Amino acid sequence: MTPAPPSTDLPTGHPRAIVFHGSASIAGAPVAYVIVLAAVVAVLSFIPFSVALSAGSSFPMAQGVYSLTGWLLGPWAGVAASGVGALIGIFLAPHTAGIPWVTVGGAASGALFAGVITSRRTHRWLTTVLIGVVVLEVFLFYHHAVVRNGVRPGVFVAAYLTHLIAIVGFILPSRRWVGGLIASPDLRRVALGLFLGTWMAASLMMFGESLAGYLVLNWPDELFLFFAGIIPVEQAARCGIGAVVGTGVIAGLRSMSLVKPRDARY
Amino acid sequence: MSTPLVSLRSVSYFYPKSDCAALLNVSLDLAAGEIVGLTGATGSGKSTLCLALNGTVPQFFGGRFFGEILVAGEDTLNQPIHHHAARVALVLQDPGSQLIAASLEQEIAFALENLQVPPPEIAVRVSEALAQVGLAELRKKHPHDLSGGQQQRLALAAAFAVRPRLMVLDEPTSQLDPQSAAEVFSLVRTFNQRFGIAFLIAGHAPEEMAEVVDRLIVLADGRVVADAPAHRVYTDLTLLQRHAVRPPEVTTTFAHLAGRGLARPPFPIHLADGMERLRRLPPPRAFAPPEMVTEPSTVPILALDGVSYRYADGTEALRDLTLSIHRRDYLAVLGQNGAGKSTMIRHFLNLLQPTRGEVRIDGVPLATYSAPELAQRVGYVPQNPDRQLFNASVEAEIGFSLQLLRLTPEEHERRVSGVLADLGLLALRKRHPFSLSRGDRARVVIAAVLALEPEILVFDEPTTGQDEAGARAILDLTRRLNEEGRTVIVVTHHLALLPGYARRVVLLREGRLILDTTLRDAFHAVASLESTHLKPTQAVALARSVDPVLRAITPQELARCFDGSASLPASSS
Repeated sequence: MTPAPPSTDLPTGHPRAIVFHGSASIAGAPVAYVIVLAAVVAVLSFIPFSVALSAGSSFPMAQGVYSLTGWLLGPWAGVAASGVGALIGIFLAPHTAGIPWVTVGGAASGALFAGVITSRRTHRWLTTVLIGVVVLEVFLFYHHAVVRNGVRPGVFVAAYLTHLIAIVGFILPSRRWVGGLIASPDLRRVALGLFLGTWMAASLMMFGESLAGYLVLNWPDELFLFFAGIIPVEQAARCGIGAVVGTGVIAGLRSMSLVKPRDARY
Repeated sequence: MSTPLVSLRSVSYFYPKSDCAALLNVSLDLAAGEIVGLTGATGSGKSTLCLALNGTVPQFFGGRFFGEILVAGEDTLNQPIHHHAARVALVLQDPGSQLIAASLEQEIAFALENLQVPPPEIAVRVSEALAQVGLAELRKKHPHDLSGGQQQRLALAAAFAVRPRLMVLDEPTSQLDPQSAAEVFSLVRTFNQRFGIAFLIAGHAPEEMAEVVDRLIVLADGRVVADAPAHRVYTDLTLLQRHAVRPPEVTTTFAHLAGRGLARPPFPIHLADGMERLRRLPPPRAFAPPEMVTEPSTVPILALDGVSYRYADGTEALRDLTLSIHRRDYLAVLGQNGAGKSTMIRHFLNLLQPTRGEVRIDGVPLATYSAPELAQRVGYVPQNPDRQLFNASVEAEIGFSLQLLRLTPEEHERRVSGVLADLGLLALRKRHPFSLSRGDRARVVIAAVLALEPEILVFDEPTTGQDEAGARAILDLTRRLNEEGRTVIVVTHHLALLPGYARRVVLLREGRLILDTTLRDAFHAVASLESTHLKPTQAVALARSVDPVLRAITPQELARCFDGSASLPASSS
C-alpha cells in the first residue's frame, strides 16, 4: 500500500484568491444573473401599484427593484438587467409603461445610480458624472418650469421635495453611509439601507423621468400641487418594495453562498 | 517521466461559511489515459474533488482554496470553467440536474455548439454518442421523459461527445440497473482505449469499479488515505472497513475463506480470478439454508388485480399486473430501468389510476380513499430525499404532513417527538434540513413519512448514493420497521445489499410480472434476472461457478459451503 501522505489539520498549500473567470459576464456579473434579474423586472412590470397621472398610466412594482439590480450586480450589469427587463415589460405590460423610452431609460438609470451608492471607493468617475448630471437636471427642470413657464418656486420645491432631499443625500457622504448599511451583515441594517438607498436611487431616477415627461407634456401649474401630495406616497411604496424584496433576496443570496458579481454591493 | 494530465498540489478547500475542510492537503497526479477510481464514505470529499478538477470548485462556489490544480499544465484558478470543461468533462451524480435541452440530440449538441465544433461534425458526434449509449431511437424525445438510468446514459453521451482528455464521473451508475451499469463501465473501457480518454470515477460500486479501474484513491474527511493500484486497496479490508468502503463480494468471499483456512492473501478483486481460484478448492458440500417465509394473511393488505397502465404517449408501462402483498411482507421490487417499477409505485399512492384493472388496500378500491386516509396507509420515501424537503426545520418538515390530519396539538407533538427520538434526530430538530448530511436528510424524509404512521412503507432506491455504512443504516431501519409490523416494499437495483433484509422478490420486465418468489430463489433465477438487465451478485456467480445448485447468496454462506477441515491446496492462494 502506498502510504498516505503526511497530513495535518491545517492547509499546507498557499492560499489562493478566488476569481470568477466566466467570460459570459457583463462587467463582472454572470450573464445568468443578469438574465434572472431582467426576468424579475419584466414580471414585476405587470403589477400596477399606483396611478401616475403625469403620464396617464400606472406605476409598476418593478420601479421598486430597479435599484436592487444595481446593488446585486453593480452599476453596469444593473443597467443591463433593469433596462432589458423594462424593455420587455413595455411590450408585455404596456398598461404600466408610461412613455416607453422614458420608462426604459429610467429603469436603467435607477440601477446606475444605485450601483454607485456604496461604501467602497469605486467607480469615482461614474459617480462624479452622475452627480453632474443630477445637478444639471435640477437646473434644467427649475429653469424650464419656474423661469420659462412661470411655475411658482415654492410649488416646484413642494412638488419635488422628496426627490430634492434624496438628491442632496446622494451628493453628500450620506451616499456612502447608506452603501455601508446595505453591505452590513445585520439584515435589519440591510433593510434600512435598502429603504434609504431606494429612496435615493428612485428619486434620482424619477426626477430625470419627470424632467423628460415635463419636456414632452409641459403640464400645468396645478399638477405640481397634486404631485406634492402623491410623490411622497409613491416614493414610500417604492422604498417599501425595495426594502422588502431586496432584504429577502440578499438574505437568500448570502445563505446560498453563490459567487458574488465583482461589483455587488451586498 | 511525462507530465501528468492533472496534478493536485497540497489542495485544501473550505466551502463558504465552513470551518471544516472539504478537501485537506490533497496531492495526487492523474496520467493521460489512466482510469482511476475514487471512493470513500459519504461526505468524504469525492464530489468536491470531482468539481475541483475543472475549476467549478472554487470558481462557482467561492469559499477558501489553498494549493493548486494543474490541468495539462494550466492552473484551474487562472482560466474560466468553460476553458477547462473542453478538456475535463464532468458527469454529475444526478443526471437530471445537468440536462437542459428539449431533445436528446440537442442535449448532446449543446456543448459542442458552445465549443464551436463545425455542424457536420456535431451531427456525426451526436449520432455516434447516442448509438454508443443505446439511445439512438429516442433522439427526438425530451430528456426529462427518460428514466433515471436513461438520463445518466444521456449525460454520459453528452460528455463523451466533447472528446475531453479527462472524464470525471461522479457516481455514474448509482441510478442504473446492473446491466446498464456494466454497459457504462464497458463504455468507459472502450472510450479509454479508442480515444485515450482518462477517467476519474467516483462512487460506491466496488464490483464494477474493480473490473475497470487501474488505481484506486480512498478519501476520508477530505484527505487521501490510500492511493495505490486497485488490487492493493480493495484487498486491504481493514482500511476499507475503517472508511466505510465495501470491497467487492469476490474479495469478501475469499476473506471468509481465509478465515476457514482455505485462502491466503492476496485475495482476488476480479470475478473471473475468483471463479478460477474457487474451482481449485475441494468441492463444496451441500448447502441448505433455512428460508424465511412470510405467513400470508387471508386478505392481502395491498393487491393489484389485472392492472394495466398506458401513458399519454402510448407507452404501455404496466401490463395485466396481478400481485398480492401481505401484511408484514418485506418485498423487493426489481427490474431494469423503465420496467414499470415507478409506475407501479405511483399506483400504490393513487398518483396514477389504472387504465385497466384495480388496486385495493385491505380489499377496498384505492379510489375510495381520500388523500389523508391514503397517506396513513401508504408512506412513500422517494429516491432523492432532497425533492421532498421544503421546510425550514426538521420538526417543521416532519410536522407538515400531519397538518392534513387535523390532530390535536398534543398528538401532533407526540408524533413529531416520537419519530425524532426513534430515528435519532432529536438533536437536529431545529436544524434546516439542507444543512444536514445526505444520510440524515434521508432519515428526515423517512421520519416525515413515519409520523403519519402508515402500515405500508415504500422505499424507492433507498441506498442510492449512500456509502456502505449509510446504506446498511437505512436498510437496518427498514428491517426494524418490518419487524415492528409494517409492510415494507423496497425498489432497488442493489441486489448485493438485499440478503438479510428482503424475504420476497418481485421482478418486472416491460411492465409484466415475470417472477414472484423468495429472495434466494430470485437470486438464483439467473435467466430471469438477466432478461431484466440485472446480474446475479458475485457471491451467486461464484457459487454457481463451482456448483450450479449451490444456493448460497452471500460471501459468508458461500465460504461456509467449503469444508474448513480440508487442507488448503497450494494453488488456491
